[in-house]
Amino acid sequence: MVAPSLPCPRAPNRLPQRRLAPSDGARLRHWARKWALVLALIPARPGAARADVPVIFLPDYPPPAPGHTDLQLHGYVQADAVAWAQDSEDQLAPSTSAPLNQERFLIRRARLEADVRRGPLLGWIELDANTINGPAIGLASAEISYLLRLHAPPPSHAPMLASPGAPTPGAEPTVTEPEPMVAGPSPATARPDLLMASMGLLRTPFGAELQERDRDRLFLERSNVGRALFPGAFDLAARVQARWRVLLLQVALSNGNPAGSGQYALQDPTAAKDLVGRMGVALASSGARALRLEAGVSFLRGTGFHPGTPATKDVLVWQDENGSGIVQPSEIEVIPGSPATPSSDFHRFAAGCDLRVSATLVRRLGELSAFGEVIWAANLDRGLIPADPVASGRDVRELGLLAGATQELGHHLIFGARYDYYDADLDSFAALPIRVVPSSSVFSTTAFIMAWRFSSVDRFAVELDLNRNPLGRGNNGLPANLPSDTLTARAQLAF
Amino acid sequence: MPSSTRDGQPFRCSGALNGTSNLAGKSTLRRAALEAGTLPCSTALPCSAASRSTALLCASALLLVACSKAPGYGATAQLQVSGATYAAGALTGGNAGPAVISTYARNSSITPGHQEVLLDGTLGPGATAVLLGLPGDPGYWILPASPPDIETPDQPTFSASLGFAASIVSPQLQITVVAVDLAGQRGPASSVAFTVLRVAPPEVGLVVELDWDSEADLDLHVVDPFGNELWAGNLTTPAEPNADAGTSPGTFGFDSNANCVIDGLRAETATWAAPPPGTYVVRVDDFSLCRATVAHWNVYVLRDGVVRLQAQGVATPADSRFVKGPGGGIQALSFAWQ
Repeated sequence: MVAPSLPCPRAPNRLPQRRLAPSDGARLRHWARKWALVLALIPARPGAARADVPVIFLPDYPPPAPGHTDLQLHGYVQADAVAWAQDSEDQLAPSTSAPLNQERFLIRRARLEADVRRGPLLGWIELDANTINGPAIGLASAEISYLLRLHAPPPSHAPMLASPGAPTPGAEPTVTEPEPMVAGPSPATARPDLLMASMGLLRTPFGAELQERDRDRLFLERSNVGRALFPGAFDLAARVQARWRVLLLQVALSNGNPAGSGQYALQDPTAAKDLVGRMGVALASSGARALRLEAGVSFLRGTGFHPGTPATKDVLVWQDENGSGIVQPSEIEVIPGSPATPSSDFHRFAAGCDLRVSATLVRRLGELSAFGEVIWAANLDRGLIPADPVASGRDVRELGLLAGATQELGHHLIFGARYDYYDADLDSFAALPIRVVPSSSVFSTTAFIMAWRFSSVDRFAVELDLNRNPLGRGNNGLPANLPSDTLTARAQLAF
Repeated sequence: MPSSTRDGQPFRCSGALNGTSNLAGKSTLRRAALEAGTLPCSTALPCSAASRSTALLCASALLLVACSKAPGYGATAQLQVSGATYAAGALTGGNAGPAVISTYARNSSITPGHQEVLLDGTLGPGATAVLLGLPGDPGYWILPASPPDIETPDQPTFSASLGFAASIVSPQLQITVVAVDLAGQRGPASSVAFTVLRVAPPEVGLVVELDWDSEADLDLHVVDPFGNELWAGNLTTPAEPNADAGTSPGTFGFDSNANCVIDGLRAETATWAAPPPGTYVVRVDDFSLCRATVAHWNVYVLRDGVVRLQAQGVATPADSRFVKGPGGGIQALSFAWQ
């Protein structure tokens, strides 16, 4: 639905009358006129034509006819242009010889998804190709599910399921008071109650951001805390999901080494499995404000792995200290061999809560969505600074949070801002020559994004990331920020 | 640029900040934040104008302005310090910080490309780091201080492993050393002198030198007038009974990057102090490119220390398929010695 391109002629008069009291004075009237003008320039858009993108993805499609197999192909491409990266350099990394330049074009994700349905069985395969570190292709996810429908929604709710915020042609914008939350039939609650059991390489059910699909997320990448604790969204696991009215319960047993977690990614060096899950609630109103609320609490309890070391032999080392090129006894050092050390396990856990509130406060603008998430964890970092309490001799406590908001600006534009904070070690310290002082291990990013949407999933976005980290070193020798701000443009097309 | 501007890192915000003069007029807190580098470059833009329109313009400019770069890893610096962090800007001392009490270089004579040159020292009480820089470099190195010795429990120490670029041309180097305390205050600058020695080829006789530009294993082969081949598998030529009196056999130098054990030298030489007259043939064998894609090589023929002939070429993966050992390689040049 394409909104009328002409500005609404009544908007300049209506908005000041509704929002402002007559006694507010000339200054307020001046501001009201300015806002009215801005709003009038935005194409009138009765009914927010937002995509119905649930944070937690569950299939809502009807089952195929008995004896039939449905196969659907989906996919999307995300092509990035990193216009500016502050820590980019036309050099090679000293240790890996990898290029340090980051100002480049790249294919961030090219995903091909196959969705197979046969009776109560569902199959899902997702292949990923990218050029992040050169051309690469691999398996992103693959799962087999058994879907049991407990309750089908009444027919009268079907249109709301298909497009809960679909624009109504010719409808005038109306102003209504905020309606209370209801637990009855609504766009979110009218989905069928179901029970779904899955096994394979599947999305880890923790928090909201982790379960948001990459093509649906407005911001280009997940937050620091998400990428640190869960370097990949997918892990080999068995999962049960249940949805009953407004409640959603997800529980999984996973290997605990998701994709991207370094040495043992998608392997499992320990027999113990991670227990992870989320219990959430989704409320929505069917009024003009289209108020929606999604919230949840998550937990993880698992086992990490500290690798042992093999035995080593004695080594003779010569260091030419005086540069003579001649071996002298004082320049020879013997490094004795060491016995093998056994591997060991350690416990890790995480708890988190998430909240997302969406509403259409100004009909002409579109939906405003605010979200936040807090995660407490111990020994769980597997991405940024991998936690190893065996090596460090103490538990490594982590704390992360993120908060942000997105605002639609008419039919095509959307603006978003997000701040995320991640402390990789709440007890970090720096050893000075004579004393030990607390130090920071905080990673934070303030992201601003502006996107032009051709459809709900096709868009062109520009994001500015202001990053702060402890990876540099100040003149006093303590950790300091290493400048690493970036400006990235992304084009996305989905099919 | 004075060291007070963001640890000496130059701002390049399209004229928003251009040295310390632009800091004048800003609040003390803002100046401190700018100097400490804690404000993003965007906030350093002159967005303090009262009108919202200006703020909007500034916000738009954020997306267009190419702000400052990180100091990088110091790959272009002539001085490298293992385990230290690189910072951009010239290194200068101060008066408020601790002093460098003593320094000790285990070897004060170095050669271009010399690595792991150890420099130890003792710092004044309260020092938490030491700054090391070479005048002329675009930046300097920050090295955390080490615990004190038992005899001087209040004086932190440092131990730096220095590396010098192969392109150093100055015969004398003065490394600047500055101690810094926890507040970032710098003490007086101290300097450590190094003498640069040059390993020159013999100034008499014949030298055939091969060098190349990547971490590949290339081998130099030189066939003397008697048919003896000098290479990494035959380090000296035999004494020929028919040779003229006064001539000497040839000797082969170091087999660089042998079996892809990278040594960084990337050069091999064959030398005759008194070469027998006749025709010499020089070949270059692409033993292995190791992890390199190609290797650009040069062959120099020096007579009495002066380059008389030169040849160059490119070794590609196709070249590494030929026979190795005696007779291996492709001919680079031949010449007659009289």
